[in-house]
Amino acid sequence: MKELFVVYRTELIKTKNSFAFWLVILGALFIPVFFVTNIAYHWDDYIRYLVIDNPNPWNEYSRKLFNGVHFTFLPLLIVLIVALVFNIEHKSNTWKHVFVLPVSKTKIFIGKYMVLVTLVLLLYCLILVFYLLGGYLLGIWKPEFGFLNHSPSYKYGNVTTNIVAYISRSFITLLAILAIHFWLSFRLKNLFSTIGIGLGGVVLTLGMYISHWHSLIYVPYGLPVLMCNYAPDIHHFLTAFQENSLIYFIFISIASYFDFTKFFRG
Amino acid sequence: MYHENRFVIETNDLEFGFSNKNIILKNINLKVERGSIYGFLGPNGAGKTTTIRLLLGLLRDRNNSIFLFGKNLLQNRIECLSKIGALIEQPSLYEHLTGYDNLEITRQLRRLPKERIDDVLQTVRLSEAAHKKVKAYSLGMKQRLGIALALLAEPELLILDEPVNGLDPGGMMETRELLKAINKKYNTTIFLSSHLISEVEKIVTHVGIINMGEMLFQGTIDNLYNLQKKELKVHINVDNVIAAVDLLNTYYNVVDDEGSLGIIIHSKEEVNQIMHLLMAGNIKIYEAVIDSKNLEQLFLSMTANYTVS
Repeated sequence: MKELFVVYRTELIKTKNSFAFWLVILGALFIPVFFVTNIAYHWDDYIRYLVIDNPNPWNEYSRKLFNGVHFTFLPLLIVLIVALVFNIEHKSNTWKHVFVLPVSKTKIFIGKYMVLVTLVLLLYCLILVFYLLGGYLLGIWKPEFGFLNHSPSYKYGNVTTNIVAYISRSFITLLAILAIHFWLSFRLKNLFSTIGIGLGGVVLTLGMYISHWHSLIYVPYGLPVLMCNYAPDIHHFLTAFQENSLIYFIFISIASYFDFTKFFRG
Repeated sequence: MYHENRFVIETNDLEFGFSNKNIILKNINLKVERGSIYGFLGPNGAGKTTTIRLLLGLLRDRNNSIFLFGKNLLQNRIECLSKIGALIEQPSLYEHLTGYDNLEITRQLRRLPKERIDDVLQTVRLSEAAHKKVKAYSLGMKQRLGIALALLAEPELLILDEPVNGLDPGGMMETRELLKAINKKYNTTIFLSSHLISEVEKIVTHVGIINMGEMLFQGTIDNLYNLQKKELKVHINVDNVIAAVDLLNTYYNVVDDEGSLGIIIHSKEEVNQIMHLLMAGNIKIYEAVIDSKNLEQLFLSMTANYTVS
């Protein structure tokens, strides 16, 4: 366990000054800044959307902002982050150095996974911070929005959920893409190949989403998009597409683990 | 069977191929003695890097024929790797990090004390550049940092693939001196590959020559020098070549070498005997030159004349 922590720590050092790390910060900033700027610019229109039609402005603010996050942006961001983390090894030609160190491949595999999960969680935390910051800043600037008088929450239809529960579900929907691109990114040396596959997958599922294909719940790239206008299930924490994402994650991770430890030689 | 104290690397008919038709290595029997500097020589594409990758477990040896420190590599991978420092082709460095961070990653993974970083930085004379990003390093500095990474764990065995490749003459000399000093100070066994014998002949104690996947020679550098001495040729200018050839043919392998005599001899003492014979036959001698192949020529002739059996 201690050795695994050491591997994790060294994997974290590798992301220092890397583009993957900066992309997490910039990516987390992008949608909240864009959205809050848009509200500030058209504030008189948004007063109606956020306040007159809703008792709690946070509900509509959350829905719109997270629709923006989930609609293509988040899946592509994850594809990019995973590809860039593995590109650190490919670009530096360091796999051979990693594999001649007296460390088991299992620990290297888990260490890489842990770092990627850390980066994705950091991304979510920052999105959450910028989301809250945006709401409170709008509340301070225009008290009539009422952001300061209510607690942040997410509501769609008649179901209201707290924002952390919503974010947790969103994270689960990303796991399928994370597992697929984890595998692709250590196997494909060319950064653009993995990004191209990710882009193709997202564009394809967007077509399916717009055409209301029911089978979208089985397409890994489409799962985060299903978080747009997501109505939480009041009886179950996870809905079918989120469970599918977990199943994909488990099976694809097991398969890529065997590939990494048995066949992959950098 | 495997002499743990004597051979640090031992391979037993090592073979490798990416398919049955594409055999890259055939019956490689390496024997690298503890404390030696072993030059693994061969032209480009001879199979040096493939052998090194097999020795480090980067390629899979299906026949379990590699023994490091007397132990089978496949069954004792982690234990064997903990005693090895390696530099394979170009150094593997994270260019977006500083030299210090690169060493820190390896230090943590090998669980070494923090002081080792300063020690190796001093050894390779990179202390002042330690906190600069690697992308700002020159090729020579990168090579030295690669060697520092290999040295960090004070390994019993250093495996270096073309460590002076791409360096300027000054850098080459520096690296050679550094390796010699490490070998002397820590009794580290060094296994280094090169495609030029002249790059390494001054520091190696043992030599293995490989071409087209087969070992052509393995032994001490003195064995190689002895082999070289067996290949002497003396050129003699005389007034009557035909008569001289008739006279010497009985005793020597003589050829008419563009108007002079070309005689294959096995020691310099034979020159004296040839002179006596010529003088006894009333043949005037104008000039005698011994043409000894240097190691480079010997290496080239060994690898150039070789055809796969």
